Amino acid sequence: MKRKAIAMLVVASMTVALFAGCGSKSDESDSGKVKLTFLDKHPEDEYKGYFEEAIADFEKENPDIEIEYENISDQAMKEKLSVLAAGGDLPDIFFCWGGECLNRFSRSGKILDLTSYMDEDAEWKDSFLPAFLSSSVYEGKNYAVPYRSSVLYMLYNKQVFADNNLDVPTTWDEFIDVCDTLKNKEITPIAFGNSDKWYTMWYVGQFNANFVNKDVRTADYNPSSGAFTDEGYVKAVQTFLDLNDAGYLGKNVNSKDYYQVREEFAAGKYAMILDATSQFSFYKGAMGEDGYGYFKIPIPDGATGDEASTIVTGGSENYAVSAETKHPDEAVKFLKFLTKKAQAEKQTKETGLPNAIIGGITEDNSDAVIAAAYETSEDYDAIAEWLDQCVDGNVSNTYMASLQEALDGKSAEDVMADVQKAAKEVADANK
Amino acid sequence: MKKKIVHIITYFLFILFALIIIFPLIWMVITGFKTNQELFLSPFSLPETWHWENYVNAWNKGIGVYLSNSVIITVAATALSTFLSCLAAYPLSRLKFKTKKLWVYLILGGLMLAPQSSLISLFKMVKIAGLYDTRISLILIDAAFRIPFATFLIMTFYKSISYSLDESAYIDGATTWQIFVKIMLPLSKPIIASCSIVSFRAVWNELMFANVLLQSTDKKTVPVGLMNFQGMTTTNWTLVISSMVIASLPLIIAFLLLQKQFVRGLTAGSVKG
Amino acid sequence: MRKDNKRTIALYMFPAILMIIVLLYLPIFINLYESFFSWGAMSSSHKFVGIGNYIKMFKDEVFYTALKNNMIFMIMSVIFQIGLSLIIANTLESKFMRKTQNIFQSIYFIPSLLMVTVVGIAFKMICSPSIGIINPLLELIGINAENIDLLGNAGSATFSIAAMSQWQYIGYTVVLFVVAIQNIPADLYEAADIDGASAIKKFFYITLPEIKDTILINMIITITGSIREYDEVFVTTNGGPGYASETLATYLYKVGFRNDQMGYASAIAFFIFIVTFAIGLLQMKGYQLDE
Repeated sequence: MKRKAIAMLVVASMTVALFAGCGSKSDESDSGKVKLTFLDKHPEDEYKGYFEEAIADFEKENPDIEIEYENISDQAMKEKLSVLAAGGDLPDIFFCWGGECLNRFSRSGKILDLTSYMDEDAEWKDSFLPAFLSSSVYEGKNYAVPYRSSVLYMLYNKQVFADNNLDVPTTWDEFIDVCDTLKNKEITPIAFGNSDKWYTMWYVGQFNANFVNKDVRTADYNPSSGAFTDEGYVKAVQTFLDLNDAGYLGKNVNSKDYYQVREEFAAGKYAMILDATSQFSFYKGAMGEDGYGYFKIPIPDGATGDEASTIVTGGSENYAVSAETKHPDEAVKFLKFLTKKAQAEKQTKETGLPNAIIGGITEDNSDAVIAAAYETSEDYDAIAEWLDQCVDGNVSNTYMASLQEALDGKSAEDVMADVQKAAKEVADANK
Repeated sequence: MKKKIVHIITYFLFILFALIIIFPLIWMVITGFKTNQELFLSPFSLPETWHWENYVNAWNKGIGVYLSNSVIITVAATALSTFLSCLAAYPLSRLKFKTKKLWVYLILGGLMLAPQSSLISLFKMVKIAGLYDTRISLILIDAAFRIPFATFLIMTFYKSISYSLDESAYIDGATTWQIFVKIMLPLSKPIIASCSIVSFRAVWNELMFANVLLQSTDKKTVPVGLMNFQGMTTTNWTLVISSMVIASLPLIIAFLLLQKQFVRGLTAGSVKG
Repeated sequence: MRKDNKRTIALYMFPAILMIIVLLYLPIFINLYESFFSWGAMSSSHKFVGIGNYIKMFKDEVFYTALKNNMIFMIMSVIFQIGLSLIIANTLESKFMRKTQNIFQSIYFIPSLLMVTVVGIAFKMICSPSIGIINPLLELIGINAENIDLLGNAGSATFSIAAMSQWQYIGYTVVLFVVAIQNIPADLYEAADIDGASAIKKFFYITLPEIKDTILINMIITITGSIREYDEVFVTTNGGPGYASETLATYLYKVGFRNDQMGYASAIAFFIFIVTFAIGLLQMKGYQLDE
């Protein structure tokens, strides 16, 4: 009996020893250095190198600061942010999407208010494209800085347009004419695939901005006051569904995905595709700089929103600082380093990620098409945030699921009824 | 004669079924040689040029880097869960005591948990224990999730071994520990083999906990590392596929090696009571 | 069997039980507690709502869709991973197949070793009406496949994903059954052969009763597995179109991590636990603890 007990003890202690061996942490910070943790996206090779180098440069400039850099993929980030926030352990500096994703951190006081830093350094504050900086403003305070920007355009395949003697449409009627002409020639006009659900939101977000007044939209996109009862929302969904019903988007849209259709677009199977400037480098690679052009998606007939003519959909990606960081000054210093003009230009040049700095994108660090696209976007004072990110997750998911059903026959009214129900639930929970 | 026809038809059906199983496998291997463009434009034709570099890149950029972490975590979690399960299964199947039912149900209950629901609570616990970003936290959790099924499988196996074996050992004055080590364990090879492969594949492919509980790049496992190839709009799908083909090779090899342990007759006949 | 010292027994079971209680049960009971609150990971409010989350769940249409889909997974898994798999395992064990048994067994088992992500990509491609191969195959045998979009139509999405899951896991239960059948003493069959019993009779009167424990285990893992079904749906349709292929686990994940309604997600999680636990207990009735 005794021997058995001893044997078991030995086994148990060996197991413990094994774990202790595995679990040795390398957490001791080098003497006296300020250590900042930095959680970022962009683990892909084409981006990682740039960020690693930037950090090394920063550390060289600031020998007393050490950055502990981690990067994870886009998909993994969503879950990780939730878990880290729930566990009360946000990194000192971390990536965050704009809109509601950021706002919920701001609202709960989990990220640092950067307003005073921005006021102190007006030059820094004024260097950002205002439309993108504004997406990280919550109740008049700055909570993050944008490092990457993106604007939505309709891209077209120049070859397909030339083959069919088509001109770039500037009005909605011309746009519909182009679609009809293509359809009659049995070319699917617009590349679209919605198996990932978020793609519809680009269209609907843009149309919402066309059909609904700014104040109404702002109130509705806020979780605590969302109602979505304006009839402009139904019209926006209907405008999108009309494109599908007319057959402009092709067949079986719910099982095709974005990756598939954009390859097919690049190969000339479709004439147009809705995409963001941040993706232009893909088309440049696949079609050449002269292979594709872009235009702003025209304003639909009957669009009555007060910003209908000036607005584009777009968004920013941001860095925020945890409210609990022990070294806020150093963290802000790092943000300033990443977003100073020369560094931001380098980011765009080396990675193709468009920065969010005024005049930060030129033919020098990008290409003519993208630079031109940004020149126009500097004129837009109104940016409609990505609809899937600027509203509460529950509203966004309901929107996406219902729109998927709408592509299969559900009516625009029913879609908005679902959204209204979700918005009410969210508003009640946020009161 | 009639029997022969039945045999031929059976063989035919089995081969057909094997083809259905194999086709997507071969597709994966071949697709790993293609470009992203070919994948979407002509997914079921052979690649125009065979891009061996996909597999080389998959190794250099993904698997190679994370392989050792995955091996450490998987081997440790599998060994731990299988060993503890062998221990627990022994009294539950071969010794008599009153509260046995309770313990069996308790272990069985562990099979019923959806891991998604434990994620946040486990994360908080790991934080409190100071084990965040350590391999040990992942090993313990992965092992814990494997124990219920492994215990159950082993218990069932132990029950099929003749009780007269331990009876006679008792008479010879052996302790339960000696019986366990000298009689039960050697007889358990087939079940330990199948248990291990089953746990091994589950831990090897586990993504959710590995993503959340580990932070440092040098501790990431293969599945987490592979997610790096899948950005929202920058995915190189053929690289994803070639990586996953490589990532599953260790499992397939392990299975083929362990399969020898499943060989008939190792336990049959002589020990069944 | 002999009565043994309690302490000895406890020592054997202690490590496993400890790990299960701390790492599996503790979180689920923390969950139970959290399910009575309305809270989110990102928000700072943590409001007691009593059984509000459970009431919400039973009024939620998506919850019932998900439940129905889990049932579809469950029924298909039992048919294929128990029924068909048993037949395959038994046939593999017949004398005339023994030479090739290992080859077939290995081939059937390999898919279960793959990551679900890669299987998902493959099946998305295969099922695609525009670039896949299933629709052309259907056309080939004279079925009009124009309106068939396996993963894109609400009616067929769940069944298609469930079918993919069968493709991946049938070999897994085949191997478990084969191991069990190999453990049946050969003399039982020899005796039956002397009596001139047919193969079917031997299957029903010797094989089935002898491996009933393994059948039970496989039932429990396939059934509880289908109630926890998550991965396959996540990598193919992510619940779509609409909510047509949502399962309890994918819905719980979305509610918790996308909508940030952690309290509600905890309630769904506890419901999954209770249902699977009840089903597990029912099945356990057939399991004899002692000989």
